[in-house]
Amino acid sequence: MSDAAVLSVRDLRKVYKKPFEKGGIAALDGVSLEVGRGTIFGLLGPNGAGKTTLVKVLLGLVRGHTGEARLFGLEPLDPRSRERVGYLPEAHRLPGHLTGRQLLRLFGRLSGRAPADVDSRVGALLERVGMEKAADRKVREYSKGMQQRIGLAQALVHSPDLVFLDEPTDGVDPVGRAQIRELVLELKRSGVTLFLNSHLLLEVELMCDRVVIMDKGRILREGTIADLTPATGVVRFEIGAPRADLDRVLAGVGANLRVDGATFQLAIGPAELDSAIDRLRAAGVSIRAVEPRRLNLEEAFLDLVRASNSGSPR
Amino acid sequence: MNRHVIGALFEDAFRQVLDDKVFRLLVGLAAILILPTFLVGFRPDGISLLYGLKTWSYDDLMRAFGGAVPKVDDLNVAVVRGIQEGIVQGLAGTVGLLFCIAATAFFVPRMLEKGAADTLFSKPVGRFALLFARYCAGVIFVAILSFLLVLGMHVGFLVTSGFSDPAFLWSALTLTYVFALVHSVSVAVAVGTRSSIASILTTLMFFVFTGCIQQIWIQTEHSQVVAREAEKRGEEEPPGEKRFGFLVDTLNALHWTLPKTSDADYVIAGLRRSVTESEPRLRDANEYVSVLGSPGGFVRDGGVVVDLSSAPAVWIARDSAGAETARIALSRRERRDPEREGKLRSPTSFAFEYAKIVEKEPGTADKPVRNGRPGTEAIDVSWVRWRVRGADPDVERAHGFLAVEEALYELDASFQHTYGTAEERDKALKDFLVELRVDKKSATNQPPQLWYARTFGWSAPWRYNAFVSIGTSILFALVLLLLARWRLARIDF
Repeated sequence: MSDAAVLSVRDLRKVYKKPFEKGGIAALDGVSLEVGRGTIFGLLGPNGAGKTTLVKVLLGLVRGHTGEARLFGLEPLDPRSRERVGYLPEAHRLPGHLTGRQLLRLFGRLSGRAPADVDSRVGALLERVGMEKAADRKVREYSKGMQQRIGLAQALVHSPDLVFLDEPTDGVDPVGRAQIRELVLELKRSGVTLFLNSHLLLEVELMCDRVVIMDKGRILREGTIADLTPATGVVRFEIGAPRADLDRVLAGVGANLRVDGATFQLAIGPAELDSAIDRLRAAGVSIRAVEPRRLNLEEAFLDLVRASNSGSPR
Repeated sequence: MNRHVIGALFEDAFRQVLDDKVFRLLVGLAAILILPTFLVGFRPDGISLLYGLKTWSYDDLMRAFGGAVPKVDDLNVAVVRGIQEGIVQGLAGTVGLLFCIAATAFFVPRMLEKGAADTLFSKPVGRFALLFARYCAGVIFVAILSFLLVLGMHVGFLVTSGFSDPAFLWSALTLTYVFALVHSVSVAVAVGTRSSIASILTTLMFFVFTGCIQQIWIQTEHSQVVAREAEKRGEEEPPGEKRFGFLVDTLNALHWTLPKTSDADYVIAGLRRSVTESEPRLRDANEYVSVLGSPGGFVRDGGVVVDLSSAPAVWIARDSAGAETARIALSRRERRDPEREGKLRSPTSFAFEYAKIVEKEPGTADKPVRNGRPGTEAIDVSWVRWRVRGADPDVERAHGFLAVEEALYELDASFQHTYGTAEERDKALKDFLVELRVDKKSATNQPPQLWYARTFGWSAPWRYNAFVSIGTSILFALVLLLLARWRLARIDF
């Protein structure tokens, strides 16, 4: 584990065994990963890919793994490894008998913080997640979105250095989502490492510095958003008005022309792009926009997962 | 785990209890049980409603229901004690505990549900600490209810009836103790199954099962002790134990392994005794009888352990000038009748014979009177009472016979006219009997439950010892909690 890494796993394997049955289900199959300080790390994968198991192994919630896992250099079974960690599980259930404020106080103190220290943070945190008005209502009376907000607050109440967020915007309205995204970016700016597990790929694309795509307990791909979303070689043009003679104007330049009203796409290399623009301008076409098409994260993700399922080499 | 974590866990346990709807319901029920104790007073002369607004004598009340007032001294105290025991040991100790088992059984399964467990166990706190906090939540649940009920009733009876038995307060502790034992089963099953229903059903069955095992064990122990006593007397030994030895061994194993929840009632009695009773001032050498103190104004000189068969123990009351005004002597002799093949004679027959002898004595003023008063709930005495003509005013005499096993205890009292009225003489005798304790009785002449109640105690032999009972029961609960800890450590959430 490098000095800058807050978490690292090496050749991590976990098999869920059923009593009286041989074998079992391999949830993690040789995962190796390292996450540096102050980054937002996205974890993607279809259901059953092993994402949640990986997080739970790191948090000591799942045991009986092989390989190495470290949080701040400590074994997951050592409770001290979780002192600087916040966790918002997917479909969490918070104690309904407490109010939002009491819940934050409880979880802050369970993380080893002094009551006065926790109390000094609770007010600001409730405000930050937009829960200050409902802070003294019982958690069981909260809507799904409110539960999500207070759940996020409990993960942050003890000022952790590493935060695992599993579907943090699940059930939250669009305004709330934007607030949460802003909060996540703010945490990153303050040096907190975030481990984000979400099915909302746009959200991941907007927030994450690095992304891991997993399937069947293995890492399919790891890299920055740019690494995972390469250029497709297709350029999209937006023109002033539809033209029926685009075939003729662009004859011999690029390939696979697809016209859709005032926009069209063309598979074209960088060297031919200037030539295409010249021809269009010469034919009196008004060009409004030229956009090289990249794979979006969803397309990249689907490509990888499909390839994994069909047994193609990664 | 630092003190902030411990404080947070207990605060959360407390909040969880206060938030529980069943808890609130049970608080309401406890209040309903407590309220009448503040409204109805049991006085020596009758029942008083709303601090004297309306009163009924016990005679009137019993006649209205077609009954008769039982011949018990301090009837009001007996009624209050009966109500206290009925509600706390009878109602709260059985039905109430069943309610509490059902109400708290979900504490642990709910914590172990997916989503809830993830959030909680991802905190830097050991899993067992979190489990133990939930266990404590259950115990707090019952402790609050028990103390509310017991303390409320105690204060109620104190205010309206003027009756206070501080030892009754121990009942709250023993109710909590019994629940703490049973709750360990609930917690262990909950961790194993993660199901509230399984936890409730198993715990209820266990509660009933342990109660049955203990009752059967008491029956078996009693029959074995009776057999040994018969053997001592040279009578034939019953064959039961030898034929079903393996069953008795199994029963013994179960009894010593399982928590002894039914012993709580006997523990309460023992604790009550330990609060209300001091060390005896006199103990007969055969250990059958002891005397805890002296009636007001009476003094006795002499050691604690006395052989009452060789010399009586004497208590003397004196006036301010130092002149003797009354004396009570206690002695012992055999009550076997050698003329009737060593059969035991009853105290009544001794009293009858004694009355005849006294009647013939020249100093006896009137025909001696035989009756059973004064007596106490625990001790029946056959009295012979008469008056002796003195040189000056007459002397009032009383001679009582009390049977304890094969021993006959005799109380001989004489009161000078300077001592006081007939009521004061009765009170002195009664006060003396209140201080008298019968410590030993054979199993043969007692039903199993009564025998066990009298045998069980803090200084009893180890099989019937309260410390052993509590120790083995707590050990069982600890083993179950450790088992739960072992299982919990292996759960993947």
